[in-house]
Amino acid sequence: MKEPSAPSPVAPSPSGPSMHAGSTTFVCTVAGDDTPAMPGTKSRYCTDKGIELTEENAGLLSMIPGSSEFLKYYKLYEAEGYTVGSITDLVVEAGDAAVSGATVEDGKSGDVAFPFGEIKPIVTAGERSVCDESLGEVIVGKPDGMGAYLLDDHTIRVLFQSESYGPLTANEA
Amino acid sequence: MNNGAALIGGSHINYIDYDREMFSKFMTYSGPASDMVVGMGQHIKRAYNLRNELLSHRVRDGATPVGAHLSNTNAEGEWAVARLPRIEYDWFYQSLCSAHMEEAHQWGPGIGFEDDVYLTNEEWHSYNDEMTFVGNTYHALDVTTDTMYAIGAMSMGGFEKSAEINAQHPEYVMIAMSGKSILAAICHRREDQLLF
Repeated sequence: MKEPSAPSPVAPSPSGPSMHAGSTTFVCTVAGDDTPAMPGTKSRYCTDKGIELTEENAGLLSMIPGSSEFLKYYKLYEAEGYTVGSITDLVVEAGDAAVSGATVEDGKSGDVAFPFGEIKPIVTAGERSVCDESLGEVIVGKPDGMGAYLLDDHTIRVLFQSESYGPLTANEA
Repeated sequence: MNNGAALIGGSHINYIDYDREMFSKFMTYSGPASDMVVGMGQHIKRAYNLRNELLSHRVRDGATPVGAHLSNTNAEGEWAVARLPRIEYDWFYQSLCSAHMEEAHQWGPGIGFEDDVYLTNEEWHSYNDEMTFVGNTYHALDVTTDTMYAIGAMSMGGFEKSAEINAQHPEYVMIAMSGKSILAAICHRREDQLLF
């Protein structure tokens, strides 16, 4: 495969030794195509286009009853920014922190000394979609069972269910 | 769902689409998975109940004669769950569990499912003590057509897990069911909190 003209340098994973630690760079290309898959063809990827709220618009909005709630949540939205797949810290742990002595901190990985290889998240509950077909939808629940298949030659589709409980728990989904 | 004919809460089935080439190298890539996401959404577009009827709006003050999600009701289509939804959906998939893909003809030419399906099961429930009920429903999602079929009501007996096994015959499909203990099966009906 021919190298793309705009290679994306990639360092080994910072979270420990890698099976490919000797490889300091790689470039991602679509199979059978010389076009760089990432970066370069951004239109294929879901990206956060953000919400443009100018000072003028915010001023106009503030005159509408109830708009303070909107502005409050807009600020939360701006501050949080977690999009699908963006979280790199792990929920899973290699062992009980009480035993391993790993530092426990909200939103941060704990003990990641997994004995048989690295683990990287591909999606985490709480992340929101920036894809056109589902803009704003949030990943909820506790996934219990995945599937995967080729959607087409260039795309892997991963599916999972959320194991949510409707009205039978306090946090209704 | 069903072109707006029914609003469903509870367990979702989501899909996320990833760039295949990037996915193949993700473990040595320094960036987050969001860099390779090309799509995300709800996988269920159409859904049928145990009577092979498309799910429809719930009749709020009585039985829903056609299109009820029967794991939420008795056989007449009257709401049987211990609690009503606090938000305005019609039905809910309760605690889908042990989900997995089964590939078409995975045991050889003509043997096994005809389509790629994603199997999952409602694993527990909590019903109104005054009502009869149909029971937790077992589901198959045809991933090609985004259609969810209710294919049985087995898990009130504690069956939450399934796996296709080799029937060694093109005219049969075999599914092995297994699940929780007898104690858990009893707990499903009235003491579901014990399951967690």
